[in-house]
Amino acid sequence: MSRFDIVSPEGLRVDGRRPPELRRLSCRTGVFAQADGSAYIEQGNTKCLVAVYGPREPSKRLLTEKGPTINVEYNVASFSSGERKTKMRKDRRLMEIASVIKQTFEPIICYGQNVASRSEIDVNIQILQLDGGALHAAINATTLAMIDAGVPMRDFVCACSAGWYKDTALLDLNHLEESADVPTLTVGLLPKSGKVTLLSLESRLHLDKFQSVLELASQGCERMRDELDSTIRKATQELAKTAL
Amino acid sequence: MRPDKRNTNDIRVTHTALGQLHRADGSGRYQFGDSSVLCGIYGPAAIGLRDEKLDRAVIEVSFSAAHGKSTTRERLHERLLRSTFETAILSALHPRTGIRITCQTLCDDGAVLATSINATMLALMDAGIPLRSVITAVSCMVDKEGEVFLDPTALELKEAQSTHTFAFDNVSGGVVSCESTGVFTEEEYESCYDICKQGSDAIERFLRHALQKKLEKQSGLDFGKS
Amino acid sequence: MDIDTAADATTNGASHFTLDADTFRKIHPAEYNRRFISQGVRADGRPLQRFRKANVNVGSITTANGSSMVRLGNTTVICGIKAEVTEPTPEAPRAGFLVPNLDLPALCSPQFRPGPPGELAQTISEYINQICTSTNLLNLDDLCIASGQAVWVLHADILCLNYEGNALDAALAALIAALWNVRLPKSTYDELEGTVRAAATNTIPLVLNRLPLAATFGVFDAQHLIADPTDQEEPLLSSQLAIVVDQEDNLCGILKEGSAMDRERMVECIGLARNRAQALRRLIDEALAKADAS
Repeated sequence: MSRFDIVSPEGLRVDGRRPPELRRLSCRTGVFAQADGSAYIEQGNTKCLVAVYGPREPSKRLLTEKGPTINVEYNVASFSSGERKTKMRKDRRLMEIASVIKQTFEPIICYGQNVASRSEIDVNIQILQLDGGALHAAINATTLAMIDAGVPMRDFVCACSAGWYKDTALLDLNHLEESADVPTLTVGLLPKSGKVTLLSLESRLHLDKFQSVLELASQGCERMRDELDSTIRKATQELAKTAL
Repeated sequence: MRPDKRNTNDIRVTHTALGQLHRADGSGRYQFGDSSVLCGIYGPAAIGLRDEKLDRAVIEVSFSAAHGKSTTRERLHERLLRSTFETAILSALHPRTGIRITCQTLCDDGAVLATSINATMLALMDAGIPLRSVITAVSCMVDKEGEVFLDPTALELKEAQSTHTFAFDNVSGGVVSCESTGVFTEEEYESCYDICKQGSDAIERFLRHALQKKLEKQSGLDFGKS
Repeated sequence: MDIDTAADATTNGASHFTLDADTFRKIHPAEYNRRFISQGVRADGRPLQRFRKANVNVGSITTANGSSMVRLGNTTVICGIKAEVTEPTPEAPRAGFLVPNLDLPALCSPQFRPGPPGELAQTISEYINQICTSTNLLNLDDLCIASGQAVWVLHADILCLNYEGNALDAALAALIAALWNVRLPKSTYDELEGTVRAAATNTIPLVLNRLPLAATFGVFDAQHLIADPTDQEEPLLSSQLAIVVDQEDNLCGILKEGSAMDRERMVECIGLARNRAQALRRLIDEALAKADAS
């Protein structure tokens, strides 16, 4: 039982948002010079940094592979959450999240002319501060970083989380809400086609409620896409100005 | 007055031994009083394609403490040993090979880094690896009253305000490696530099003598006074 | 800018081709840098002994007890300090612990691969740890909650986000700024339950005895002294020298590796290091003042 009401009688959540509101979002691309592509995203208090290296020569000799290999490394800084977590090299939870992100992006990358089949794309995700919604922030940041690196993709991958609490669907859950028994559904969408590329739920949600939660999450993804799109366009305009 | 009745610029009783490891290409053991390090050299030998350099030998160092698990402290020693000897060894004479330096601390009574540098020097000479110069190292400390002591023991180091290890080369006379920690002034640093330089020169004469004895024994000839 | 590499084909049969600057830099990095340095500038335009512009920010990570971000040119390092409660050792029942650690993940540069920490990260972590213990940076007794029962352990995790050379200077500056930014909660030890009760807000700052800051130099071609080497220059240096200076202009550490350097040069570096440490300290003070004001 949390001390706060997840949704107060006035209809406000713990951080003052209304149920279908997204947290304040700010994103930037091209943050670092070393990586081929990089992006930084701040969704509320969750801060995520992604660096993409590639496509480049693979470090291991690969057997016949269709398309470039994507290696995802997902790291959470030990000072990022309330309790300090010492980073264990083979932490299964981190590897699971990394593998989910890898599977989300694998079918999206176009290969052929511009991207060699036997190349490697390394995605390094670093979570600097955690306040819920790490998975979808990481996916959004990876989309931006991939675009910044110039990796050709079929569409943006936009992700958002939603949950259900006492007759209302909530969008973009923060840490307090995630840990308070609110079932969290993370949805990854390809906005152009409307296809769902990622669906992740780790608690119980009644089937009757599922449809409305999914719809709310999808709307969140659409709004996320608009944000990501405007960030990319702004960044490209800046680039175009300097490339005279 | 120091616990073992030495003067401030006296080095402890030194022991050396060459060629103790029969399977290594060269080996040397150096002792400052009770601090003792044994070094084995393997090479120049073949190494994997991934590691080789086309124009020079690759120097690899492995350093083990007297007891306990290997920590970042040993990594720092390895880095300092490697960078010291990378410049001393004429690695361009052995391209696409590897020279492996393995140091094992037998007993730690202070000044382990200096001991291992001297032990490695002995081992390199024993292995006959071509060198640009002879590198010798010694450490010193400054206590809370600002007095400089050469070659401190572990007991004396407990009272140290700052500790310094210097490695000098005998051709240019300059500092090859230096590790200084603690709080000290520039003047204290300069005194340490001077005292260690003198100590280092003495050690170089000692190493030369040790090598000479070994060669005399091997060849049965008498080289006389050098 | 094209670079000519060989004589004309008609005179001696050798082929004549020009390389663009980028290719030349990749194929002959030493020669590329030599052409700049022999004229008194470096590949990034700096004079030989100028340090890169530094930028310091504190308090950006709210989940940590203290945090800072330091940028030296493009080398970006973030330090987060988290305080936990632990039992002290029997030999020092009132002493807490400070555990600094630097991580150079695969994120920060293509030269680092994912996996266990490499030699550079381990050696820098070790040297920073030595500086903290040997200079008595922090009164470890200040971290005592209940003698013999509970003390604070400060885990200082320094993460490099972008590596463009000279992680030591950036990491040490980030550690000092973050320590200065740390706020611990007022806490009491409950004898009966054997637990520590901490206040909800973090209010107590740390007292730092010393503010050691590092300046790294390199020697190129055994002749030219350069300050604050970039990651392009680092593998080409014949020797490197790091000097740590505190707020009273005392030396707190010297780490030298590589080929021989003479005494005058070392003294010159000590002077330059003093100025750099002073400038960095001013930046850290400004950043802390800004954070306190907001």
